[in-house]
Amino acid sequence: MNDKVLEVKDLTVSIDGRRVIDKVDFDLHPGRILALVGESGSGKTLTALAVLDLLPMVSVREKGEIKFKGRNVFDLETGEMRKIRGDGIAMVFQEPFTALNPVMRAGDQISEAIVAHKGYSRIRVAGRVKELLDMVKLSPETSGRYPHELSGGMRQRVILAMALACDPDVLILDEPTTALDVSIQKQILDLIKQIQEENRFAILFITHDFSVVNMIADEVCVMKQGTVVEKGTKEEVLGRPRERYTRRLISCIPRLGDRRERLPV
Amino acid sequence: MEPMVEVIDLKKYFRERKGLFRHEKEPIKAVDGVSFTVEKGRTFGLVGESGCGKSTIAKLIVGILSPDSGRKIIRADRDIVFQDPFSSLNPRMTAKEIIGESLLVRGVRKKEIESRVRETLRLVRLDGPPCADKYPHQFSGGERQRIAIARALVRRPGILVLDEPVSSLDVSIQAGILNLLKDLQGELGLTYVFISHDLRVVEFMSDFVGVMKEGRLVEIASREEIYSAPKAEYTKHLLESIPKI
Amino acid sequence: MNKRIIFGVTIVSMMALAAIFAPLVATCDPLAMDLSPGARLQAPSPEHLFGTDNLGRDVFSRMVYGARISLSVGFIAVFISLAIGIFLGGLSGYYGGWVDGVIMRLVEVMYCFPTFFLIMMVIAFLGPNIVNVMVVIGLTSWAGLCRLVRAEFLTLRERDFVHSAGVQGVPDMRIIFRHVLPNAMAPVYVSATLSVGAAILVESALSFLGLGVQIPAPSWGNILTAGKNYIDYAWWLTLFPGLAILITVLSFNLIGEGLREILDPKLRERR
Repeated sequence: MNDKVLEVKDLTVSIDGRRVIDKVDFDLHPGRILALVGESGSGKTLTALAVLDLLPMVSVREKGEIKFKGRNVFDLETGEMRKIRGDGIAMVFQEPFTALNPVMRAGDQISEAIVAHKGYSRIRVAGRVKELLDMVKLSPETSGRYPHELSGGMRQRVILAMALACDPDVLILDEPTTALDVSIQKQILDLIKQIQEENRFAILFITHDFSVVNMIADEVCVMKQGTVVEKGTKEEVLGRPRERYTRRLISCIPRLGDRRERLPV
Repeated sequence: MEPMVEVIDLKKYFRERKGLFRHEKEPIKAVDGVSFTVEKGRTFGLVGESGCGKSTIAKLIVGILSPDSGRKIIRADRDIVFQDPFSSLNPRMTAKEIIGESLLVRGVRKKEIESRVRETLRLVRLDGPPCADKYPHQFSGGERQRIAIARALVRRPGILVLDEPVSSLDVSIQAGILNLLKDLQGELGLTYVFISHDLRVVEFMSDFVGVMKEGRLVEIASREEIYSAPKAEYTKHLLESIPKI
Repeated sequence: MNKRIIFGVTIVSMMALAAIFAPLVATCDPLAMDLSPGARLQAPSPEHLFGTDNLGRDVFSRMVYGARISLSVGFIAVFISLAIGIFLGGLSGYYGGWVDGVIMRLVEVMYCFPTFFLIMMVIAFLGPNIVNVMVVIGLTSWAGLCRLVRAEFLTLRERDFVHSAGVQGVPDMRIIFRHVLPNAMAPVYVSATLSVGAAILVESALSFLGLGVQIPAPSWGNILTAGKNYIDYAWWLTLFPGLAILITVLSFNLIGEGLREILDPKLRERR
């Protein structure tokens, strides 16, 4: 529990002279879920891209390091980093509709992720695909379907299967449920928690919704305009928020059973 | 006092274009017999997941689409606010032009248009003088939505249909817009049809709520009843799925 | 600013200025023949920058006046096709239904014809002069623009701000001209610019074949006609008009490409 699989230290990145990530600091531990919470423009997606060394070309990294299993990703060779992406660290991006290739069957897209990293034989790959579909609670027939034949929730599961394909140590999920209906969202979140319990990877979960944070996170990191304004366990940040910004963010979401006439702004 | 909005057994089907061999495909029943009424000054919340037909109802009420059967009785001027503040404003018109257009096409004189636009901007709290001459891309998402609201209100309609008006906004901006809508309802005596997939927001805004699924209303009741004692299985299922804080 | 656009616009402006101020730029009277021995088919020299043709006329001056023909045919023909294309494409895309059906069938008919032969036939029938050339090119090249405009209208018609205008009681004509059209123009600018180059090529080809500007009036195309008989020794009669056509069309293409680069990412970045 004490071994940090990912350490982000003092990360500072600017684009066009503006600090988009400012002295950001957090750690990921195996078996724990860290939620990165913030509104649009807070820098949370950029931070995730930084972890994979996929920042846009126009960005300038002023300082800071990101250590994956003790090695700074910015010091690695291109080839080494490419091996880590997908294999060591996997990411699920925001839009489930555009993340899948519309002309490739689901099963083939999952296989692609496997083949890219492991030199498995065809039979072994097929077996692994079945395993993964099972893990995300999809029937084996799904592998023969095209994305447009699947519902939003099913597509998100396929994308999750692709991310899990190589048994990564770190899983980054960028707003994985934002575009989904509420009932599907709950299913996906439950699924994530379950997979987490079985496999004990470290998860970085990006969201803007504090109620989702409540459902899924162990630790929370609140970001605003590139900086981390508050950090702690879920109980600390949600139960006893110290910063005014955090308190505002939490209280301005209408809640079930909430009889307030106005929302605090 | 008669209700401001009466919707009676509204139906809207979409037919797929027939292919070369004329196979009559089952039409998509976007709205399949929906009825409800809304009293003056009240908010009717229409809630449901994607594809349930709630946006189609919005378009039917304001006349963007015409129903295949059923009736609607609207007893006042109505207007609509859309979800996406980016695409609901013409990128090539200034805020002033956007808001004033409905007055312009009715022959209102320029001076009067200017003063009414200014007054409406003040109502939506976009006071600063330079605002009127700016283009949509110079505003933030929340400000754009305020412009859309101003545009809808400039002729002081009695009824406002709001189709997911805050779904594209950040949570803190969302709160500001919801507060604004409540204030405006009080000040101007507006009747709202408030459409959203977010049950929490609907609860905050509405007096009465209708839950839609696959083109039909599975339950319709007062806010208290829906949220404390839901009768339909689907409603209960939706309420259970909401992450709690 | 874009390198392509700067280059293209510079060249086109130079050509346009030369054409407009032709009487000042030309060194001789383009129609003045000189049949005295030695005056015909002279190689380029300080007096005759581009040499003389088979009737002793100064090629440079003929080229300068020829620029007037090429550029005006280019612009006017495209203007005509723009007017037709935008009008029909707009109607088609906005109203749909049978209007769209009829217009699209018309477009398909246009596409069936090999345009150049159609133009040749019509000119042969009506008589070759520059006005006929402009009008006929314009009347036969609107189909592509029509489709482009229709496509833009189809998507823009579904945008929320168009719906909103409808709800507010804004009349159709105003919606089309104030809301949809201005936002539909970006690909039209690109296509129109490229079309000018194409129109110039058509005019040159027609003139080369004797179906466009008639001698003795100068056009780059008909200078080439004269040149084709003397290619082996009077190379200047072929090289200069050929180069002029090449550079002009290239410049318009560069402007078109440059516009596409500027307009496209902006459209995408708006989100």
